[in-house]
Amino acid sequence: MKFMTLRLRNWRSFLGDQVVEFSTDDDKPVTLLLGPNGAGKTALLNAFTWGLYAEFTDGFDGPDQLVNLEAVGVDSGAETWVELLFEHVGDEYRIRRSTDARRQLSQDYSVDVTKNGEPAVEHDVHRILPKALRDLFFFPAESFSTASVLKEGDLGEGTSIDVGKAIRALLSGDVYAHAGENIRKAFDSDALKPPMNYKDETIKAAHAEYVQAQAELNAAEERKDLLPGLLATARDAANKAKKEAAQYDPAKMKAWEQEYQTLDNAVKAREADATASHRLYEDLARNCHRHFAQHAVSAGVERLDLAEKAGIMPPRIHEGVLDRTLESGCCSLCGEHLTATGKTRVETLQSYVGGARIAVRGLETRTLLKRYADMHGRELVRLRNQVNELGIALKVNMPAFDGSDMGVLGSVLRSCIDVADSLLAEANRKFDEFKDQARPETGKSPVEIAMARQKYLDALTDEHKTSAHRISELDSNVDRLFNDYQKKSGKSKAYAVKTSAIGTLKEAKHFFDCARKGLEEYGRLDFEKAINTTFSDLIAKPFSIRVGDDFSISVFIAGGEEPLPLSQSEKVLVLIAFLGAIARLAPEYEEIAKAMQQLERTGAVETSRANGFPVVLDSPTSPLDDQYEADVVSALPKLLPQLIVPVSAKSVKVWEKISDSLGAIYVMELTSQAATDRVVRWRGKDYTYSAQDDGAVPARTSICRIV
Amino acid sequence: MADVSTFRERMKEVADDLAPEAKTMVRYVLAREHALRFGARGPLPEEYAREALKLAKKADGAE
Repeated sequence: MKFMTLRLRNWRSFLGDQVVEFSTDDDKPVTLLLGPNGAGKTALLNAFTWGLYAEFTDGFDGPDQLVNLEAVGVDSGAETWVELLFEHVGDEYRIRRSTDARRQLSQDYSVDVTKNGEPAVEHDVHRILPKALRDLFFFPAESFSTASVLKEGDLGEGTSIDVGKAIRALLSGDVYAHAGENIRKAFDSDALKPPMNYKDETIKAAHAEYVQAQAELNAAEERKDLLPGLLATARDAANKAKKEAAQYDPAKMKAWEQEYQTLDNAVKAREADATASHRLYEDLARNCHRHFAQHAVSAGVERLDLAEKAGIMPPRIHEGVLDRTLESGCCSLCGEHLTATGKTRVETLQSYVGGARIAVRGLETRTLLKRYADMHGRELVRLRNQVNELGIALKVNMPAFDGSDMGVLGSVLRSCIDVADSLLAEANRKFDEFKDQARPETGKSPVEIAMARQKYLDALTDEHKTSAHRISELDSNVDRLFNDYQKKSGKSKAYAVKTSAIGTLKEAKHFFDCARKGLEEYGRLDFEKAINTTFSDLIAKPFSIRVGDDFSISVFIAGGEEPLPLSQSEKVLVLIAFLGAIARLAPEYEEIAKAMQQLERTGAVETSRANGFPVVLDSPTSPLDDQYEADVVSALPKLLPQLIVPVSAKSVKVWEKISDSLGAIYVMELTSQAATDRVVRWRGKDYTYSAQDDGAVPARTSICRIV
Repeated sequence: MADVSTFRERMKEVADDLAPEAKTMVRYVLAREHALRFGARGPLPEEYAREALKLAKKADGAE
């Protein structure tokens, strides 16, 4: 089996259409993809897993953001697809999975499969590349750093990779597992229950005892089936907790808590600023009528002042005084007799007094207007002080406030709101980022958690060790009680037929249980042989690898009994041999499963590099120091006839040393706002590796073949 | 270390020890499991129970 091409459209950071043509030359097995951090090496790995299985590797971020963001910006309905073309025993398979910006949110994907150009189904592909092998054929960079197989002194502890499951999948072992499981369920069928018309207390009691024993056996077998998965998860959790416990420092924890408190307080303070800004703006808005009335008020007061100056305002004498003066002919104020001229003047004054009543209202109005203007002035001062205080707190650039009106205050306040909102968003972001950092569970130190997880793992391991014996005991008990029940029920023909049917099922189940156990046992032997062959192909040292019952691996010197301490590169090579062994077994097992010869051929399978399936290794040298990198890189071409390796150009010179084994080399060019202008030099020629571009938001990647 | 003959022989012994009805049952189950490997296997337990009953009746001469 070989991958021919990978085509992508708008996949993650890869904008537009991209194509990778893989090397299919056995002598040049490696297709190398050089890409800087952030270019999408993991996205490329996940193009395989999504395209083939609609699944992602552990830790893949944003599975609901598959469509390139820039493409979505241009067209909100933009689509993405991944198309893989591969050949297998002369047949050409094509699988294309697609979705769009809307459908991706609900994991709504379409898939189109063809075999030699004719319509086919996903199962045709999964028969060749079973889902259970996803993590082995497409190996993530993170797993290179965390695989327990690499941990110092822990080789015997096994690995979180469920090789047993992978082998069962390759051998179609699930058929045997399901057969046993379905027969187990068949025991409970109504069709096999005692006949209703026959009552016998002795048989009834024997039946009840048998049923009870069978139920206990079923439960124990179901639990045994679950144990490998539980063990793998518990082993992962224990290893992770152990790592955290090793780094545990109470002083750091205290600092973490203090930082948490500081950031929490910062968010609260920013929330208060933002609330104050918004409230003050509302306050200003409620007072804005004064701003708009201000000119009218000033104009009114001015006009009334003018009227007063012009004498239009009422005379400062009461009309009663004038009335009494005219009646008596003497001035009511000084008592002097009125002359004819004086009388005329008093009469004129009297006529003014009547018309000035309106002007009195003008006076009252002016008083009201002045009071309104005073209030406006006071409010303006109050608002001005508050805005000034807020602006200083938020460090907003403000004009001189003396004489500024509400319009100016409104403008300053809008700036305050913008600043307060952005400071709040920034405080929240910092706090969220901090909270996302791993933190031990509240109230427990990482050491306590590690101990608890190890205890759980130990308990599961013990249970796993004893489960076979327990099941054997329960099985014997079931046999004994079933024989008793069968003997007692022999008196009735209808009864006897039912117990005979149960007996037939029990025999069939025994056959499938043996087959399943044998497949695992002999599959393990095949795997042990394959990993030893693979490892010796990679590294010419007299090492012997032993594979435990739970597929844990230990390395010994040939013929020795003590596990060997390994160097960094040797450990990575053990892991690579581990993956390579499965990839070498895969085609052999696939053929065996197809011919349904699992029970005849498993346990005697010979593997070789020449027939192995391809693997994609994301940054396999990432956990290595420079000095060990060369060992691993030079060994890789000996692993399989096809290898796809996305890697950073950190050690490009090391890869140059195996250039004869590199059939195709691509550069994943990253263009982004945060990138720096960099080139990668291959064989004396420079190729763009990353480019800085302020307009490239979000970042984008294109794939260019250089060899 | 065991070899292929060990596994093949072991399974041969297990198969030889099976009663004729159980052998038929094993063949039947294998065929059904392969046929429904990627399909709905829910009804299989009932089907197996009925098949086993049928074989038992046949052996008993009831059918």
